Amino acid sequence: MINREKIGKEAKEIMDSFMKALGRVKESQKDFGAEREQGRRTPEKKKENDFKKRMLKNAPKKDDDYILAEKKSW
Amino acid sequence: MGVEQKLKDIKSGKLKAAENIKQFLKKIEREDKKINSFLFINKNSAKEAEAVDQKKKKGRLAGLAIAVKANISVAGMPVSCASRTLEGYEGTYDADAIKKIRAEDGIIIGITNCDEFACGSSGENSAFGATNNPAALGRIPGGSSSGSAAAVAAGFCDIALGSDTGGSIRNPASHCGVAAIKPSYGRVSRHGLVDLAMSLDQIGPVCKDVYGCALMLEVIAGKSANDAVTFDKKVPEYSSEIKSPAGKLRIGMSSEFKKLCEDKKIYEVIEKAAKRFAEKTGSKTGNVSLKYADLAVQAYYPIVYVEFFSGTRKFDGRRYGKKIEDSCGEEVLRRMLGGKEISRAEHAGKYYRKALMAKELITAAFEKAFREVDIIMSPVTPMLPHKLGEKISPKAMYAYDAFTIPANLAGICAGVVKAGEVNGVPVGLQLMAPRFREELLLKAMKQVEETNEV
Repeated sequence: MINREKIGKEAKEIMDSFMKALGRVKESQKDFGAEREQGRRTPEKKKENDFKKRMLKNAPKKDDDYILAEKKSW
Repeated sequence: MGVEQKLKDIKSGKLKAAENIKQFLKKIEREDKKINSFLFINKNSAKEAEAVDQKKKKGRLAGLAIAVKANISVAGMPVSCASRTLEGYEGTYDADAIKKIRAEDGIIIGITNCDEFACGSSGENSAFGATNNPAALGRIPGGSSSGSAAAVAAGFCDIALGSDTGGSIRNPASHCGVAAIKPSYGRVSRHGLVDLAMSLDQIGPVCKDVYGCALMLEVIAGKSANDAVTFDKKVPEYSSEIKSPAGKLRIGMSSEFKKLCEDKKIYEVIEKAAKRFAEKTGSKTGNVSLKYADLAVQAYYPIVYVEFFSGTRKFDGRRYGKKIEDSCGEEVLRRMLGGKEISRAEHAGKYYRKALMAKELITAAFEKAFREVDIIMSPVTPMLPHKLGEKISPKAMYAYDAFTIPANLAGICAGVVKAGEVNGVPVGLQLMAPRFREELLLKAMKQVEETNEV
């Protein structure tokens, strides 16, 4: 059985120790955000023939052409 | 038989593609129980090869057996990422790399094991059992592309595809004694690859020889409309390029890496291989400074934690699979919980941003280094692969990738060729070249292969 609390704490400790090591990295004013225009892609329009069939096969619950998901459960 | 000769034989009809595939299928059935490199075998592969045999004009990968890591989408085959979360999930489409392989008559022979969602450096984090190392039985094969490297080393396929975010192709290639390449970021489309960290991931080839790596890379590389970060740069014919030597090169060896190399015997093997290469090619070796490279692991993991947490939000169990938090293993959970925590608004400007700043400095250090040298040589890992099942802390596991992570952070290309052995365990030499200089990298790798004494 996985102990979520322990693992979460461990992850935070690892990150904190790494941040300590990164302390010698000087602050920079650089903006690391990406420009939306630069990152825009034009995906292929052609759909794979069996895509729909395969997608529905992977669905845990379905009704004909619809994937069923419980409302408000997330 | 090398890949080049086999291709000639298949194209000339001396060897039937179907025969090539059948031989591999038999070997896998006989021997993979002890290696556990495959999660799925394509039972139609021999038939698909027969169709290639019927063709008059055969493609560049005619009839070669290609194994694919379980995090790359192949239509109709399981894309489980070696996780219970996606157990039973079948690929709904072919990844760009797979489409290109099929177009060149490569045969997908099966899907290989790996660390769950590519989270690991040992091959032990698979939900379907650890992979053994065919070159050093009883030891880890390395990870996360453990099954891909092991399948190549065991002679179960001609070429395998892996993915490399911080060393996941190079680390297992080194431990299993085979060749591999992590292409420059943006060289190969990531379309159809399940993300570990989207700003670092690349798909790349693993093969017993450098020719096979060169050939596969020239097939899968190039601009794709499906991946906005691929670059519109001409893809050279790497498999032809490697036939002419690179000439006299300036080889850099980093003193920072030497200090970090825990097992000094590994470094001795690397220094000897570099010396051998320099003597036989008339190249010069010297020290090159890679400032901040010692912070690579510490810069890499905050980026991976945050991007992995973001990338896994789609695994909610509604449209396919199971909810990831309820079905994954420890390392996957650690990265998601860590990523969730450090991406909270109250930590803005701290963890992720600081890591990105370190990434910038490491990139700048490589740019500076490549003004002084043509190629940088180093070990692939600072230690030999541990024994399967040996208890090792997460931080110690992360340290396996101390020499491979810098290439991902800098976006450059890097490859591995076997350089020697320590106590009978393979040791790989890592070669790093500037971004999009894969032709130079492959030429140097080919020369290392030719000057090798192993």
